[in-house]
Amino acid sequence: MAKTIPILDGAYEVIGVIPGEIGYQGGKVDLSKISAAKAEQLVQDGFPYLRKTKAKPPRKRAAKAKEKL
Amino acid sequence: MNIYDYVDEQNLEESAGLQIEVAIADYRDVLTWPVLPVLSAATTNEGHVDLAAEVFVMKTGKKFQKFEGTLEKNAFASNLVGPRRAKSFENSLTVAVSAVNKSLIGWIRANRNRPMVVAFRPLGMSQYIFLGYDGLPAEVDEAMMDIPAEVSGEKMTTFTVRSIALPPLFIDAVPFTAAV
Repeated sequence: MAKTIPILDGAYEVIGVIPGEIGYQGGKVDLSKISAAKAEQLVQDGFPYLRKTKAKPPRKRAAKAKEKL
Repeated sequence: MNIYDYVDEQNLEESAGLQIEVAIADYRDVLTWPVLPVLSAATTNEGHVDLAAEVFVMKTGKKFQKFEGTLEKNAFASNLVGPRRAKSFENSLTVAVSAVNKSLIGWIRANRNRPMVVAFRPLGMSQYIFLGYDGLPAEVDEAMMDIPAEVSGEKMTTFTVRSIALPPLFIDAVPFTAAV
């Protein structure tokens, strides 16, 4: 399984490479400098080196605390 | 494998020529190769050669390197060779720089016998075409450094990378950043 590196405050994950330059769509994309909007567009395009970070399930303790309330 | 219609499409960005930058990786630095299209599963003509979002998974710390040629000097050719019913592809990419210097001569010295993968983009095309695949590396076929006698002459370093058997293959992206 490819290693991932979080970018943009953990909202996206770079897959298998250090965030940097990828040749793509006639030019280059620098994954260390992209905006959230660009990241979203790349993910929508099916760009293979980036994905959205999956939302983590709520912690058990937090869930139990909610149950008590 | 079926036969499909070919219908000419107008491409407003159609042009001859290649982008000046070529991506080059050592064949042995590729950990996992992009999966080739399954001929029997292709449902279009391009489906036989388009790897789309497949990726080159490089060994840790490895990546494609850039080689910048001179505008309107890089060239590509692909030919079918071989006898009837046994036709095969022979592809060659010529990269040319209008210069002769120690960096270029050093590059030729270091890479003249190196199995490699090269990727390049024709003008007006968003995908890369790459040469060299698992078991079928591309190699430098010939190189030339020329300093003409006349000051009006064109100084030039040229090398040609050749691959065989497989057709030119198309892929969406090439990593210039190191694998982790």
